[in-house]
Amino acid sequence: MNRTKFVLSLVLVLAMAFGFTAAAPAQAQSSVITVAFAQEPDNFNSLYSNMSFAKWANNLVYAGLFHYSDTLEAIPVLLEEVPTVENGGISEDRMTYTLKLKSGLLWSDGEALDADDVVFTYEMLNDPANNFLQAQGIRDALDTVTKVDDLTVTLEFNVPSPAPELKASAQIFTIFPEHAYSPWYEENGSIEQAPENQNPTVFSGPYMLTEWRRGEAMTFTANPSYALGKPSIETIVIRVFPDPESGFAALGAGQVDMVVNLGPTDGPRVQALSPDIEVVQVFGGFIEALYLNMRGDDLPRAGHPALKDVNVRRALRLAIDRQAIARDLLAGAAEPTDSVYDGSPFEDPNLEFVEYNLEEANRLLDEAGWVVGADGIREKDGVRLELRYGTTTAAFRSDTQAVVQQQLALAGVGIILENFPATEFFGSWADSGTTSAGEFDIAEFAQSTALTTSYNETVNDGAACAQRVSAENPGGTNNIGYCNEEMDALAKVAVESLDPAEVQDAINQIQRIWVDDVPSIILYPRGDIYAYNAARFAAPIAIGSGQGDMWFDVQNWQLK
Amino acid sequence: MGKYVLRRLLQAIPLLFLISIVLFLLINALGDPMAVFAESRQKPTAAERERIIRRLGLDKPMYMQYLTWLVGNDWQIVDVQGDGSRMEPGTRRGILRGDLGQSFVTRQPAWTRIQERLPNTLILMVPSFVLTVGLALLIGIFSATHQYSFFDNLSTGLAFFFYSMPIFFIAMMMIFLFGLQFQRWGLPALPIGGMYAAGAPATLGNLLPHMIMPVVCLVAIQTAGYVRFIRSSMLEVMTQDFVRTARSKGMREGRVVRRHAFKNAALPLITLIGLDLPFLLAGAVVTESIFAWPGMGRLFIESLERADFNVMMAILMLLSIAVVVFQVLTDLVYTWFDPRIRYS
Repeated sequence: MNRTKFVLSLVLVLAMAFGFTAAAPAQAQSSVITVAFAQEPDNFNSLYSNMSFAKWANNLVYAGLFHYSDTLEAIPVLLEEVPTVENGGISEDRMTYTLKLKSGLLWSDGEALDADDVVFTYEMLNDPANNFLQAQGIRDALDTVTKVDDLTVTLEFNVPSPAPELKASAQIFTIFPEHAYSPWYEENGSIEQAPENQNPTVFSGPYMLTEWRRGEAMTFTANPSYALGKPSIETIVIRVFPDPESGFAALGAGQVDMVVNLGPTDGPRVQALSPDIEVVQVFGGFIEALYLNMRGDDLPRAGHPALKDVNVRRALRLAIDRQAIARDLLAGAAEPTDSVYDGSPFEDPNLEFVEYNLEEANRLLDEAGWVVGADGIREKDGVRLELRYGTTTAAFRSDTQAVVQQQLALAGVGIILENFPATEFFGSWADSGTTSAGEFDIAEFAQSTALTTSYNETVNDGAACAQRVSAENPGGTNNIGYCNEEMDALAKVAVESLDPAEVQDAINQIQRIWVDDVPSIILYPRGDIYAYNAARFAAPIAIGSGQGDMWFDVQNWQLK
Repeated sequence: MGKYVLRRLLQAIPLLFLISIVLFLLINALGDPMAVFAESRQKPTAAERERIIRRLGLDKPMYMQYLTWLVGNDWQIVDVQGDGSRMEPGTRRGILRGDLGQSFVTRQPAWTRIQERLPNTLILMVPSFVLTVGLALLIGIFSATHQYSFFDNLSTGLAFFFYSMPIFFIAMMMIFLFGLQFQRWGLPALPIGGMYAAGAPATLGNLLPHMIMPVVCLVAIQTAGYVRFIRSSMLEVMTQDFVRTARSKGMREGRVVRRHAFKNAALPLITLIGLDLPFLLAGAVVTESIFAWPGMGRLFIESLERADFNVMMAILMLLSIAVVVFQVLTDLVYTWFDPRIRYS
């Protein structure tokens, strides 16, 4: 018995000693910053990935021809200047680009970065054998790419391409190192399996990947050859924290210096962890909205019949207090909007926001013949006004669901809440995905507006007549069944016209149609939210849009 | 004995086939691997989406997909573009020839992804398991030999307390206390996530502090069950005639407990350990996620979220095989503890 006690005591003493000696204080190293990512990048060739985190890691190690600042200003990186019609970089007919590289550019291994690399990259983009997940737009439009001299390349397109952002910016792709990729390409006919995609060795961005402990952390060291100058912070470590709460705690404890991609409702909570934490929000391009199922009987799974009545859709918008959602759920981090182009340069500043008005909502519903039944839910011809409101499992969306459910109950509208994993909610027609199959009356999700171009995912695809999903068009992107030929015509003008005034006029009209017709109830624009430990930096740091390049100014970040 | 082992392993083959069919059907019903990109900024177009689905072979009927997974497709000509413009021989060799397929996410072989994560999981799970069983043995035997004592009541109470506690709660509380609050109090705080300090070499001294919180969480949750099990097993044996006989022979109590009581009480414990051991390979989903530990549990969850079928199948088949192997090993260990057991 004594021996048992002895062993127990020994174990306890050892455990305590181990705990105290091992518990080293987390000290911030002077030349290292640690950034928390919620997901591990899946590929260092961002054209093989649709993952935001992969794009962000890619932008840290590869430079593009040009990228965008936090205020959406185009900044040349490898180019002398961003091509425009005014500077002759884009031809009058918008069919030819002339790209002029800076002289003396080098890859991290000392090889010259020149026109051969740019030509190789466009040739790779154009070769279907590479099986890229992206860049279809460039492939469809690009006719020829020609090296004029060591620093000049011309691109010939088969359609007018007024937005260089979509054909040449780091938002879409970065320049490939020809000398690293071409031996593999010549041997295999495709760079899909090239080792450089997973274990890159040659870099042009502000940092070089020096170690990748899979699933845990990636270490990057400053690249002395970076076109915009060597960053002053020697090392950046990206650490993967799949549980956001642990990442926030690590930020609060000073064990990480920056967390990217905070949820819309996380800001105040993270800020409260430490007075040193700064929360920054920049243009994200996402617009969170409630999409209404207006599919007709010609499409399977039509939505609730009431949603085909524009007055019911307007009433629903009036009955949802979007300002209260922004104020109470998001702690004022976003301003609710009715513009489907919110935050982009094309937003109509004169567009009026439709304020919450429960009385008017009730009046519209009464007029539409939906009368309040015995249980408080409206009904008409024996059909109850009870709507299925589905979304993903994201916490901020569940919060929104609960609030909307309560608010709509005051207008006599019943709401059934449903949540699905993303693989099911956004599944394709063939997989009977929730949105594709129309298994919803209200679906909450976000679509993005482009950074600076007039293309709008919601308008040009998500609500276009020709994109309505059906057995004949299983790849269609319009899951709500909305069709307005006038808006389609305007949307075409918006992306094809070469006259800026005409484009803006068309987009203003689209915004008004969206407000009148209510294909979706827009909740709020979702910015890119970052939190960082200001105590570590000498001055506030400029972080770019995740849609452009969050590291656009990393070379100027200074530690104390 | 050799014949017995061989027979058991041969019997497992049809079982594994059956398991693989069921798993394949279930996993493929999970959803659309391309759906996770629905809210990404650079969404694939319908044409790109279609091409990638074809390239992954997901456009084929389910039985063809299963056959490709099982025996490969390098004996077939594959229409890469779907329009007959590019016909190439298939590249898959199938699991029967050691090819577990390619991860949809990283385009690496599924086995490479497992190789990256399995050692990390073992580094976390094996010490946790050894500590769990060791602690449970000490506490369980002590409780049984001191039934209804203060220590017995305390350990029983604590066992129930931790057993009924969700692990994420313990984990978050530990992070809050030892990671965040200790730092605020100026005490040496424990590292909150990962295996090694950022930018530092992967050494044992660097690893140990990172192991403390996840290991303590796992031990706290698991020990309770084992303690209760060992205690009741021991109590049952301690009242047997042969224990009384041993005592009446004048044998010292420690020897009675160790040599007579424990050896007999250990058989059900071995069964329990044999059932638990294969799952060490699976890692701990919640613990690994909260403590950012790059192990198998996280790989499985990440693969599930991205509907990365090949990686999920590889993990689940690995576990199925491990269960079969450990069951045979458990049977063999019985013979060591109980000489009456003989296999033929």
